[in-house]
Amino acid sequence: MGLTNTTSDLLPGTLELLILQALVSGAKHGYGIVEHLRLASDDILQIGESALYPALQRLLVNGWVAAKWGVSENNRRARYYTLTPMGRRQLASERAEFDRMVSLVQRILEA
Amino acid sequence: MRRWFRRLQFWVHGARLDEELLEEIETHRALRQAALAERGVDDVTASRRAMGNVTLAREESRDARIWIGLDDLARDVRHGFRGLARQRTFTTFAITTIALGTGTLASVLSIVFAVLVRPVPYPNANRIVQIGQVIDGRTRSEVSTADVTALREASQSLSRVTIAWFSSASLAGEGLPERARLVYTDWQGFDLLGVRPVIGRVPTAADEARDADPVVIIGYRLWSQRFGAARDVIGRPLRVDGQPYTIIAVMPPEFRFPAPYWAAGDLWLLRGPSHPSWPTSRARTVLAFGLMKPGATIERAQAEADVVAAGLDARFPDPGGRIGLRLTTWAETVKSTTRPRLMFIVGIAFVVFLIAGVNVTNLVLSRGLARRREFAARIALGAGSGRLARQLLTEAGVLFAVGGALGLIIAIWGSRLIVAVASFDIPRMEEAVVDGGVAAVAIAITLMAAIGVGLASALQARTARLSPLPDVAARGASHSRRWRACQRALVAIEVALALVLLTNAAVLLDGARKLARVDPGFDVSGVLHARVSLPPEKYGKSSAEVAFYERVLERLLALPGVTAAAAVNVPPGVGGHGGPLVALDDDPVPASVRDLRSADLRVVTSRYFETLRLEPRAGRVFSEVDARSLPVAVVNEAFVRQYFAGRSPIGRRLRVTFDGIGELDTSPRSIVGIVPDIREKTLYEPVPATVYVPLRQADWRFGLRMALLVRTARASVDLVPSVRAAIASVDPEQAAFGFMPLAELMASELSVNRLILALLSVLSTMAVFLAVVGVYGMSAQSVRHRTREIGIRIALGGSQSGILRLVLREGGILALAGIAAGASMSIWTADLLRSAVNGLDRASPGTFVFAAIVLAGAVFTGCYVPARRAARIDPAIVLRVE
Repeated sequence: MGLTNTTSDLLPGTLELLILQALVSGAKHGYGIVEHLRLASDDILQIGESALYPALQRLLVNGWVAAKWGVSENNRRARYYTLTPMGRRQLASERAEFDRMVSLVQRILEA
Repeated sequence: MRRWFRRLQFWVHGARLDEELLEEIETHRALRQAALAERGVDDVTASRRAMGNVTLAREESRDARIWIGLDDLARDVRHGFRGLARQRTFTTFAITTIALGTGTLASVLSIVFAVLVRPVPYPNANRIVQIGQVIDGRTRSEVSTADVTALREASQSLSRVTIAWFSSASLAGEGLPERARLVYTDWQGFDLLGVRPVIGRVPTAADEARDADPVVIIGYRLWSQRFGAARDVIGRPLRVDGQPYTIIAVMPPEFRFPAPYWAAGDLWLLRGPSHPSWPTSRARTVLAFGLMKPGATIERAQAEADVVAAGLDARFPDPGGRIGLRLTTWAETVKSTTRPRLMFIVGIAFVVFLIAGVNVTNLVLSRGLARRREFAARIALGAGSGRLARQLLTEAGVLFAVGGALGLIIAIWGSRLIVAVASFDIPRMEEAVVDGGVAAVAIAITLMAAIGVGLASALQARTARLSPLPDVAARGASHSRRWRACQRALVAIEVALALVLLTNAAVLLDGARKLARVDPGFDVSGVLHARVSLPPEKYGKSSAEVAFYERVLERLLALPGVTAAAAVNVPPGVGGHGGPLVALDDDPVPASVRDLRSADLRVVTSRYFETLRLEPRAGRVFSEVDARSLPVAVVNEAFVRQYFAGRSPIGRRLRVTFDGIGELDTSPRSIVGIVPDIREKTLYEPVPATVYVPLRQADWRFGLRMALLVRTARASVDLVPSVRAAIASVDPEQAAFGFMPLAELMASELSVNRLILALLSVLSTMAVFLAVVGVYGMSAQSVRHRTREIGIRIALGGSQSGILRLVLREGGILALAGIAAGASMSIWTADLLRSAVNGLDRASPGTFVFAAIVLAGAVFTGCYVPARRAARIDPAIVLRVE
């Protein structure tokens, strides 16, 4: 898949869901989120900056994540994102929605 | 809610957040580069692969942060202003064009709002109806007092029925004698309109009792001008036409009867339908208005009126047929009388706005072509097409916002100008003002135009692509050719619209010119006109009015320079006052008014014909002797043609009715002379049969309202003070009014059209000018674009005249296309114009050809200048630059 600069091969809204999920295990900076998703997807999902940062901004605007400046492993200033309580609720509801949707799609495909 | 707040916060801290984002992405990039390096990718590739599209990431992050990119908007506005400031010529022209377009539109809209949209200032407005008589299927706005009385008695749906009649009166008492606009009505009229007085009390039925003190209600203008807006004016005396009245109320400025003319009154006197001064027959003498009871419907009220009309038909049998009554809601009355004319003016305004819009579109597209390189570079550097579109929309928005704001300022002044220039009687027109509503509609329309122009330029920008050779892209790619074709189409549209306005102006001018050329049949020049109106109470008895005129005329004749003077009931230029009123001596005894022969009646003093320099064709005109001798009459040639088949009528006898209801002269009059036909009013229509009768032998009521005509050797207006003095010396309480040269009175027939003519002339000139500028811009651009081609042509031996032809042909095709498209539209709108303006001939083909030639000439000039420039291109210079 190479450098993925768009989310076109993901369902709309899925990226946000994945980011929220990535943050469940603790605060991460942008690159950390990308790496987490890459590892978790066995190198299949590689999120580009132009998809990641707008998505992060949307999450910030909605108040689902909070950001705090910290220091990265290579000693640069980096912004660490954490889930807010609201984000946690959102994740739960979106997950349920996603599951419903996937099972729906599956049912159709298997029919 | 909180989300909006956060967005706003983000926007406020936009710059800082932006920097933070940059830093964040930089960290991201560094981390990724390190990771890639670890995996053994070499440094350069790693850094390049790690870079990704940082700009896009930033732009889109920002977009996510601030919903529709508020900061983009702010920046685009700044950018737009900067760009406009740089291109001063473009900006000045575009903004001026928009300002003129919006200004025209808003001025006209202000009038439409005043007349058709803004609610009327009466609390009962939607319950007011006007009552008219229906005769032979035609509705007349005048009714009889018998109709009013009968409706009052019988109608269940109407709680009030009142009359109104407009007249004028001389005022005396405090201050100088002056003329005032007088309205006769009764107490119900004040009740009906429901308007409260500024001070004082509205009249009641008790004020109309026979033994009650006579009262007068005065208007705001009179109060402020004659009484200095004194609060203690109530109870003061005022002499109206010599009779004493007591002032009981001052009405606000908006108090006026919704008559066809919406005449504002200076004072109101109580004269109800049962007042002895009104005839008791069904003769149409007054306007009538009713107030429907709350909950009553117009259908129900009309049904009742039909019953009343049937009863009246039985009481006043008229062999000519039934006379019906018709109620119209007053809103409908106002609209039906003014809408066609107003809509025509609105149409003109829209056409001008359209031309302005087309012109601006063209300018913006030209500028867009020049900016292709900028757009292409920005697209290549990652500007999204949406982003670019937004910027161009903002630029158009800035242009239209500035232009529109200027236009509104122009309109404030323009609507006043139109009201001032328009001498015609569109009700409430003088209330025209650019208020919030007008501004809102004008802004909305301007905004739509801005969006249209912005979208056009955005569409154009989208097609900009960098080719490997930027120069070539900027010059001649195929899409740029498509845009040029589009621009050419716009110029052709402009030419077409200009032609439409130009032909309409030409048709009107043609009409005015023809009218000026028509010979009225008498000497109009050097005659001063003034009106006199005498109070019936003082002048109704024993020929006092005849004595009044004889003494006034005597004094006028004694003035130096005055060669003749006369009085007439209807002066030339006013016209009308005709109808069935003559019976010849061998006619059977008429059963009704309808059996009489139609003619116009002129009641004149003996020197009338001399004053107009009319020589009798046969027989003689009146002399001083006629006043006291046997009854006589003079007829015009049209009368002889119509009723005597050209044979001499001298010595034949006729009878005339003066009251309009069929009561004939007791003794027949001898026809003593024939005078030439004169065109008094409608210079196009045939002259009506006319009967002239000496004042002394006419009904006394004619003497109450006469026009004085004074022929002088000098410029006639110098005479005004002397005429005033002559009248004052006979009766100090009377005042003449309506002073104007007779020629001007005659010309006022056209005054109705003067506004449309003035508007059309100005606007069509503007339209032609805009079209020429459009054509010029088009040609100039085309020449610039083809500089190299022309250079090569010249280098290969093309002649200068050949090049000239080449460029001119391009403009010529445009002009022809525009004129062809405009021609059919012109013919259609000219017909429309004819329906809106009285007395216009069907436009001759010559008028259209004339307009087309003028326009073609202007367009030719527009492309000649660039063509000359093209012909002078030096191939050596052009080709070296390449």
